[in-house]
Amino acid sequence: MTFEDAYESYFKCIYTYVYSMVGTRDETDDMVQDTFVKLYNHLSSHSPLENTRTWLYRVASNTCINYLRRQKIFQKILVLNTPEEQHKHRNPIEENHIKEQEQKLVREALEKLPARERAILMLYRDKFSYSDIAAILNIKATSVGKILSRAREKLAGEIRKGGQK
Amino acid sequence: MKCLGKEILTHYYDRELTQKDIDRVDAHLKKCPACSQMLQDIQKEITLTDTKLLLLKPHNIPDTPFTPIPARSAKAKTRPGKSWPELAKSAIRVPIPAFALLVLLVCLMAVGLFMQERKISRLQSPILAAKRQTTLYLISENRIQSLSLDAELEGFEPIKKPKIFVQKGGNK
Repeated sequence: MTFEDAYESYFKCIYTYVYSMVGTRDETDDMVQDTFVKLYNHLSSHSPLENTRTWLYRVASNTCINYLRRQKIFQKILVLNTPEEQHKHRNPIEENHIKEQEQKLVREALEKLPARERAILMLYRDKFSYSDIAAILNIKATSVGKILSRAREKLAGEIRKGGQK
Repeated sequence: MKCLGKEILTHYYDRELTQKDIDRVDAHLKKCPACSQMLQDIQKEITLTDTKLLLLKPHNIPDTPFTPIPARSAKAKTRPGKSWPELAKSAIRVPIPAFALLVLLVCLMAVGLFMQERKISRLQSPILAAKRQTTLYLISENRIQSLSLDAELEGFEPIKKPKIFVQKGGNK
């Protein structure tokens, strides 16, 4: 697969994945760009990839996890929910107050999870199998189910907790 | 049959079991209301988290956030493929025989200097000087003895030792 084909096919799903993980537009733009630059460099210096999608998700995951660990994303929630940030990307759906509140609630619940658990949840949401998730995050395939269940439990608990407030 | 754990049921829901295991779980679920209930709970939890996580998707994805990088030129593409002697050749830019001659000359000069240095140090060493003198002395002694024997055989008087050698021997 050429770089142009990969870009056409996977840009949107990588962008969605990174945005869901990070939650801010500027960081997402940078990380997605980094990911595709890495793909370009890889394709021009190495042999073609067997599974470009998995490779891209792996690079994007590593970039996001490193970023989240570095930045301590708790502070980023505040940035995401400032009126300025919301105003910048306003569209008719986001103007719905209930949906905004719900998004905020989920984001806050997600922030409480470790970066790797967050990545697993996102990859599961994007319909990856356990073996693909294991390959992307470089973990054992047998651990994926356990980590996923734990992450789901935590997230559901946090959402419920947040909903009760 | 023992009740199924949450892990197996989650794997079952996620379709991560083999067909054989799926059949077993199906058979168990028909008989066990507790496991069926647990599966329903798992299903609810997964649906809840997945639906909530879908909310985090961006509403508008930019079409081209950055312009695609232009393709590399043919020259740039062939560059990493060069073998190291070719790269060395292009980097040096001096004819190879001239370069080899220069290296040889430098090596010879270095060896010459080293030998000269070694010679000087040998001459200056007091131990070596003493050794050399003793060797000369012993050679002279042998020479005198052989000459004396020749003289005796031919009927001449034996040669006397020169004073210098007598003195060198000590109190003789």
